[in-house]
Amino acid sequence: MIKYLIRRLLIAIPVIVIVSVLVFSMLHMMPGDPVMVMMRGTNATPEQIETIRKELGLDDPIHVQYGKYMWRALHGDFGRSLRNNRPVLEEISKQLPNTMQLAGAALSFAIIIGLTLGTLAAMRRNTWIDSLCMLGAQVGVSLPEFVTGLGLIFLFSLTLGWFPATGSGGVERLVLPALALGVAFAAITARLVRSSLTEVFAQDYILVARAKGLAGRLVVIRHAMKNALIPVVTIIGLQFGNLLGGAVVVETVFSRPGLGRLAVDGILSKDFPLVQGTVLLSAVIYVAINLIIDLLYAAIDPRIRYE
Amino acid sequence: MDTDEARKLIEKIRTINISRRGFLRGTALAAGTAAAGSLLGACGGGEATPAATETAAATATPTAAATETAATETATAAATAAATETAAATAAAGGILNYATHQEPDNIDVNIAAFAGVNRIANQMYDPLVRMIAGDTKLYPGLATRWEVSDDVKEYTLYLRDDVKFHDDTPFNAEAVQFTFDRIADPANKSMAGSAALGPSYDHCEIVDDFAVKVVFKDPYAAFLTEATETFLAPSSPTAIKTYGDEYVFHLTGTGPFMFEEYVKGSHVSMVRNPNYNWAPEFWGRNGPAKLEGIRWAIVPEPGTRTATLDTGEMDIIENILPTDVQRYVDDPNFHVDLVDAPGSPRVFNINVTKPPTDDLKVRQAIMHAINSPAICDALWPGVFEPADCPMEVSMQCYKSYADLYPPDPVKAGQLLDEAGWTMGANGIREKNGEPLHLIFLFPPDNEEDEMVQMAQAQMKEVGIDVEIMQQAFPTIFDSWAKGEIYHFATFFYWWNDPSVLYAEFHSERSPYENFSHYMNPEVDRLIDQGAAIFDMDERCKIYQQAMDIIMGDAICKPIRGKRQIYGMQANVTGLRWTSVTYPMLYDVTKG
Repeated sequence: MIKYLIRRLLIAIPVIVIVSVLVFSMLHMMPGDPVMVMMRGTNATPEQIETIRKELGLDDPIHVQYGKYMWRALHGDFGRSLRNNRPVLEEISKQLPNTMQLAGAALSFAIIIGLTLGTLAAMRRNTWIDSLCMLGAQVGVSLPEFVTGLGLIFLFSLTLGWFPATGSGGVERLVLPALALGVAFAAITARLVRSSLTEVFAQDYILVARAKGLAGRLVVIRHAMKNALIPVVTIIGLQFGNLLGGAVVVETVFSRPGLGRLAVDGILSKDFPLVQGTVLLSAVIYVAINLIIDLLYAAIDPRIRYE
Repeated sequence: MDTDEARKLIEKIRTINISRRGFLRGTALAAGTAAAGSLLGACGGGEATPAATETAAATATPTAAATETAATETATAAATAAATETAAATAAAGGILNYATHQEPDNIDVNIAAFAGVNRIANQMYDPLVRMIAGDTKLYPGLATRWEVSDDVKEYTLYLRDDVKFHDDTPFNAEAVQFTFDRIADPANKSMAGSAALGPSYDHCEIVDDFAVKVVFKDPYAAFLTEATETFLAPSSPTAIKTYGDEYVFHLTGTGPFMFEEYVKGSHVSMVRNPNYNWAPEFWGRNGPAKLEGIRWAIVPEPGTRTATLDTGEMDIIENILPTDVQRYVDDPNFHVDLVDAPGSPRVFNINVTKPPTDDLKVRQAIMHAINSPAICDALWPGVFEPADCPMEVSMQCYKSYADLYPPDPVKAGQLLDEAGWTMGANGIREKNGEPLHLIFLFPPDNEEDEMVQMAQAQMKEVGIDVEIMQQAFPTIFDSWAKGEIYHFATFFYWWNDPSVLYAEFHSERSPYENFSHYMNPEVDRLIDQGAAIFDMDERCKIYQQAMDIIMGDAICKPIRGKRQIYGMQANVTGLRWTSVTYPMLYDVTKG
């Protein structure tokens, strides 16, 4: 297991380097001058723009800019935002907890709702309950986050007045954004749990368990669910990346601070250091989550062992 | 038991039934776990306590008033009534105002920032040297009580108030102004809008005495005082900047009626009342501290969410209401709407003079007759926006109407196109030498421009012009604008309260930047430069109007509609006023 862990960590390094090269290249190939974006509408002269560009180090060749950036990054310095001159690490560290909080809450909702609906559908398969659950899942996976978000605001903020529409801080401000972000993932989870459980219910050992006289609840929890969870756990790892991406839209709709909005603002203004920093961090998080998922397999299924 | 019966029994066994009670119990347990998990997650975030405190503070005032009212009921009836009235008035006048803005600041330090939106916030915490207010072209004293301008318009002597203090009790004086300007002008600080406001010909600022400075430019700069009405040039505390250095952005210190409390990126800026404020400009008609206890300036980019927060009462004032929502709030007695005319350039279409066939004057003139601005305004924004007929807004001193120059006239447009050799084809699109009259309209994503452009496209189709609509997001579109190779039309508008606004749109030096027409006319350049060097406004207007006569004669700018800032607020909010560029001033605002 230790050898496996070390091997995975070593593989992560070239992954992150490749991501950094790709992002750096794409940002620089994208048309548009970041200084012009910032100075728009200020009547700045070409000389003033050139001065700012020099101060920001944007007049160096691209490979020099990349080299300087990676050298500093290895020493823990991810540069400063072109827009507000704050350290990128500081900007990210302020926003990351908000996004992780949102993603974590969305994941919790999604797993609970997805597991519940999927289990119900599997146990009542081919009945109207099964059809209703799957119809709900279909709608959930089809709706974009901004539609869900605005719909939740209309119903729960505007009409019922149960929750505030914006901001962060406090459970009441987390409920609607987490629901908006988690709905699609809940739908996917529900469908996967249903099909996975249906397959497990057809296994002989389930028949044996029932024949032994075990109550239905115990059969599901102790015998069926564990085996049904393997594909579900896999999808959590893959979907976490989508959750982080969906957080951009939800953070904007609900006016929540977070990494998603930080990254989008950075892209639109070609704030190279900021975008580079957020993408690198996202890559590290993604790699770490998937490593944890892989390790979870061994915990769920004793037959799986890593060399 | 036969095989079929066995199969049915097995199937029955395989069908796992949990009792309804068992299922509901399990679901409740799962839901409770999820809620606990969310609660723990919320506690792990950075802002639970401050936001909860702010919410408590927002509701504390009416609660405190109610408690006070209850306590005084044991006194005499007259004293009770008086105390109740006083408490209620105090509670209503104070409180925290919740304001929703649409734009995230790029840099909360207004002397360094680039975005105009930072000005809106800074207006509450800083005092500009000079003031202009909406609907009034006069320059009012701010932190400068009076000024003198040299005959060559290169030197400005500003005489300053001697009774002002920064929020950290540092006295405001000439040294503070010099320090602020030097900081803005220093390239190492990368000041964006501030350095552009000082201009490329800024030379230095010298101290004349404790309360007078002389600002010196290398070239005549008639717009300096107008630039100084914006908080980009507002003095900041030298003590605070020297003390905090890079961290000053977390300790912003101005002289304004509100003091900086905190900024949470992506969420809000909080300000509290400056209890020592006693240097309000004369147009307020009063002095002393602001009436509000504080402001929570929330950042809410999504228009639908912003209006929802006004409807739920979460916000007291919101800006940038969509035109389609205006009538709803106008009709509702629980709210009121303020439409504030904005100066500068109206929303216009710029026509690219370097790309065929719009390099042909007759084609451009035909376009000017084909596009019907009044019809667009009536269809899209009745009662909200007025049609424009000048490259300057109607509120500008140098405004002149060009409505009679290109009245909507599809027949005339057709004649001009015929004269230019573009004859009507069988499919309703004009042709010349086998080529269709196909033009490209390029503009960025903008809530307020999509329908405007589509209507113009339809109007031009009627005279046989085929217009393709193309959208590009920032920052890609900057490249396209700079090169001017792929489009015939671009949209443009500018917020500025000085007639030198013509410079950005029409001077040849701005061709790679905001001069989307890539128009280069030496005579227009000369007139614009001349206007920038004259201080007397009447003289400046004559010169700028000559420039506009040429510009409109060359048919490169089709004005569509005037700009207005639309504010929506709860009915109990009063006292809101605006700067000349429509930014809010909350000094005199009350809730109730």
